[in-house]
Parts: sequence; structure tokens; C-alpha cells
Amino acid sequence: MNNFRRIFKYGWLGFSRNIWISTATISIMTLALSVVSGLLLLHNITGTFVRDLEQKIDVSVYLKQETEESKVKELTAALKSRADVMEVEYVSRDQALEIFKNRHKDNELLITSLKELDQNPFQGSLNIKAQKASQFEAIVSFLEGYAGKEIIEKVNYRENETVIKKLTAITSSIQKIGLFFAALLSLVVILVTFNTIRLVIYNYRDEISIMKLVGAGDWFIRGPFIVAGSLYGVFSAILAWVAFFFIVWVISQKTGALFPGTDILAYWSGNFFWTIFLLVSLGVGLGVLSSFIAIRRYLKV
Amino acid sequence: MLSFHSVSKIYGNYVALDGVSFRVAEHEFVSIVGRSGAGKSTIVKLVLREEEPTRGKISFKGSDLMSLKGKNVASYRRRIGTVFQDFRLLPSKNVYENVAFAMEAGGRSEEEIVRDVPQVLEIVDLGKKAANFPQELSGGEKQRVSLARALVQRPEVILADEPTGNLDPIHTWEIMKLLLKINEFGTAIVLATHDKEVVDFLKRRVITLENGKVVRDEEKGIYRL
Repeated sequence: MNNFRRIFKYGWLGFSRNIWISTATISIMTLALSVVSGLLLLHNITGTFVRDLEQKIDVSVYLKQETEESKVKELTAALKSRADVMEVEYVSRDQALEIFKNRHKDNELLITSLKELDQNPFQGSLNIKAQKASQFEAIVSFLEGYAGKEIIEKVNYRENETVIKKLTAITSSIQKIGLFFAALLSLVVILVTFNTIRLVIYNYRDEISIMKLVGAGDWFIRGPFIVAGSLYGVFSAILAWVAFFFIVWVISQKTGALFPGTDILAYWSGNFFWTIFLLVSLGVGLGVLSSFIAIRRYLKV
Repeated sequence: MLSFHSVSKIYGNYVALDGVSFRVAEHEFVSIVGRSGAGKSTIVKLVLREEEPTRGKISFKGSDLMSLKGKNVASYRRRIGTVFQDFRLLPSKNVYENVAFAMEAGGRSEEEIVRDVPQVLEIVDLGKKAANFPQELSGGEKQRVSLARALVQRPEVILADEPTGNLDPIHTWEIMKLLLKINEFGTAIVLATHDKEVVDFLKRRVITLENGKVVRDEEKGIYRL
């Protein structure tokens, strides 16, 4: 226990007394962790965006004007019995008219022209949500082959699938590039940290030789450098997190309008524990790995 | 307790030690003398297990030094106190901290440190200088700090490599008296030196090295090259 505390004490001293050489390490590590944070956020934004798209109506079925309610009910039941259908919503002609009137209540011209008509010009419709966006094709072909299809005027589907595919393709290539940079930066981080630890070992050569002389154990001598390495990780993770909080804060002012439903600021601060945990583990992992290599190479006990 | 069995150490083409054998008994005071390059420092490095012998065997209390690994090397070193010509004190730590540092490295508890450091500083007569930094001390005082650092580990043997090499005659005698006192308490002393006056005054065992070989090993020797 005593030793553990002392290893931490000397690790902290090694870190704080060499703060200027540590700064380079922390900067580069913060940069690498920021790239990781960026990837994380991108993953989240596209994730919510895709989920959002998937939840939008996949297929709309417009019914002929003279369709009887009973036939609509049959079709609805048939659709609901399918495993790939999540939800079927029936909008009757009257409801469609109401919705239209409501939406355009400020537009005098439209409302007046609507009144000119003898009858309700709207069609009833069924709005179908698939379990997954990819299933809409199956639903459409079911409708095309439906026995009572004479009640169907038109089947419309949003091409969410194509949008989603495009979006996923773009984000996956951004993520690939991001991962490549993250890997490249990690390599730089390892090199820089390795060098820093090497310098710290050099600065501490007298202490180290005396430690050996008085019979300090291997880990009493090596431990502080591992601690210093992990401290770089902790500080960089905190810096990267805070820096990203501000970046996200600035961006979120704009993206809120652009992609409704993706509140990245809420995501970043809401997932404080898991994002900071991820960044700290990554930072500490890189720091410890580099210290370990430096120790193996330059600190013979 | 410490024995060299036909130990050789060769660096490239240079033979630093050539078939050296001797034994140091408990409580003994042994001086190892010889010109620079005779092999004194090599013996010190080998005893500290900083270097490995090219041939031969070194044992401490029956165990072969080369068979010690990791943790055991550290605990072995704690049984040997070392004092060097250049003191090897940490300039950033004061006298008290320099001594306490050795105990920390040895994994001793805070209570032991608080209890033992002042005691050992009293033995070397530095109780009043506990808060001073090495640069504020004379050479003799610095060497006393390094002796205190060695003593605080309660070593079974003290290895002193030219401990008076950087000191004037007055400080030299201070250190020698301390070493004799420590030896009286029961700690063996191995003194590597080329100070003729010191060796002749001691009238203890003298091992003389020449070109890496033991040329004389006398019970009550004097400095003769």
C-alpha cells in the first residue's frame, strides 16, 4: 500500500516537474482523442438521422373516392396481419379534408376555392410504417398483388431506403477516413509519449541510479513512469472532452435547425460518463503502452 | 559472507578482473587497494550486481548472485549499503529527504521512516542539518549523508568506493572514524581505496589488486603497490 502510494507520488512528480515536455504529449494526445470524439459524434448524428428516417411513413396507399369503409377495413386487417408492417393508420376522406383545412386555414384563396367544390375532393389513405425501411418493397408488392386492389388508386412510397443507403455510405467512408487518421494519430501519440517518457527517464537518471543502489524494487522504479504516462491520458481525455463540449455547443446552435431531432449537445453532455470513460481509457491505454515501451528500452533495472 | 570464486570480467579485449578469489567474513573490515584501473570499481559493480562476471561465481551468504532475479536483486541490494566518492545525493532533496528516500524505495512504512531517519542522522552527527540541501554542505557532510543513507537500511555490509577520494584530510578522518564505528556495531566494511595513509592507519586486512589480479591478501596489511 505504501509502495502504491509512493509510486503514484513519484509518478505525479515526474509528470508535474516535466510539465513543459508533457505539454507536447498532452497536445498531440488531445488531438487524437478529439478525432475519436468526432467519430463518436458522427456515429451518433447519423444514427439518430437514420432512425428518424426509418420511423417516417414508408408507404402511403391512396384509395379511390367511392371506396366503402368495409373494404378499407379488410385491407387494413390484411396489412396488419403481416409481420413486416409495424403500423397502419387510416385517414378517411373527411379527416383528410380537415387536415387540409387546418393546415391552410390562413390561406383564404384555397379555402374559398375548396368551398366552390360540390364534394370533398380528397381521397382516403392508408399510411403504412414498415418494421424496417428495407421492407417497404415487400409491402408494395403485396399491395400490387392484393385481391381487392381495385380500391387502390395509387401507392406512393418515400424512397427513404435510397437516402439511408446513401447516408450510410457517406458516413461509413467518413468513418473509415476518420479511423485511419485516428490510427495514424495514435501512432504519433505513441511516438511522442515514448519520447517524453524517455526524456523524463533521462532527467531522473540520478534518482533512478540511487533507487537501484538502495534496492528499490523493479516496479518502484518503473511504476512512476507508467503513472506519468497514464496521467497524460487522463489530462488529454479531459481536455478533449471539454474542447468537444464547446465545439458541439457551437455546432448544435446550427444543426438543431438543420436536422431536427438530433440534439448533439444533449447527446455529448448526456453521455458524459460513457464518453469520458471511453476517452480516458483510450488516453490511458496509449500513455501506458508508450511508457511501457520506453521503460523496456531505456530503463534497465 | 561475501565470496568471489575465480571471478573474471572481460570488456571486449580488456581484462578488468582475472581469476579473482577472496572471502569477506561477517564483521570484517577489508580494504581493497590498487592503482586506478586495477579492478577495484569492477569489484564494486559486480558486488552490486550492476554487472555480471564473465567467468566465476560471486556468492553472498551462500546464494549465487547470478541466480537472483527481479525482486530478489532489489532485496539483496538492500542488504548492502553503498557509499561513493561522488556521494550520489539528490540535489533536489534535503538531507532528511535524501535518507528517507532510500527507506521509501525500500518499501518501509512512514512510522519507520519518522523513527529511523533522525536516529541515523544523529549517528553521523547531522541532526542539525536535516533541512539543508546537499549544495549547502561540505564534502565531508555530504559523505556523511550518504553514509546515513546506507546505514538506515541496516545493511550487513557497507561497500565504500573511494569514500574519501574527494575529501580533505580532516573530513577523511571523520569518515574513517564513522566507518570504524559502524564496523564495531557489527557491519562488515569493504573499502575500495587508493589512500595510503588511510589503509596504513587502519591496520586491517588489505587485498591488493594489480592488473585485475589479487597480488596480496594480508591479514594486517599496509598499502604496498
